[in-house]
Amino acid sequence: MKKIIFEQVGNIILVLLLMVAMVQSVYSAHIEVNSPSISFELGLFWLLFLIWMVIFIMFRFLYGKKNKAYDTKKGEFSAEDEREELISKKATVITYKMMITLLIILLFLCFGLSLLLADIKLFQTIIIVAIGISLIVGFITYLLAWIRFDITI
Amino acid sequence: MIVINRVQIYRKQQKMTQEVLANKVGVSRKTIVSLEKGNYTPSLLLALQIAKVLETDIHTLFYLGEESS
Repeated sequence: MKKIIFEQVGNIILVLLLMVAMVQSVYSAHIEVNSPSISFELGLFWLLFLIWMVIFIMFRFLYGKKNKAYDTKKGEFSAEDEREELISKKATVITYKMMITLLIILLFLCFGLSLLLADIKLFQTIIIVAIGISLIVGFITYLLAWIRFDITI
Repeated sequence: MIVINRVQIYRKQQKMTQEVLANKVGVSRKTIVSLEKGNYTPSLLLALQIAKVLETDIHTLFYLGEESS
């Protein structure tokens, strides 16, 4: 269970930083109307994202060395034995259903906002945040489903 | 129909801990705990391995039973 918590917490932090960094870049972007040039800043959050990515890769490597049940290539799909493989499969099915539902809602949200919003930067931000949150919800769903099945199976 | 097992009885007869049995068949102790509680039905391969370690046959260790309502 610890390996799944470790992996998913790391993934959530990664997506959160990426999401904020992207939004920061969207607001710093300057598009010339009469020329094809675009300029934007790679702000502090891009740096934090890269730092966390390096730290997380190192942590994963060290955790994989310490815990034989954790496979760095498989990540959250690491399984110590057949029971954990079953738990992983069941958690994946629940996450899949959750993600499909969320993406359908997101599709309608994008459609609605594209018709209603005139502010392009706000629209871009909403799309980035919505996709980022969907990913985080996916990670949390997998984590909670895994913990639940680990207790009941 | 459910699969009922006598793993705990045979393991205790062999004076074996859950940890030792788990190590001998290459699974976690949690899997043995879950199996003995009846929460988890093992694969045929694992069932055969457990039977071999506990020096009995698979039919003695695992059998079909009615689900209690």
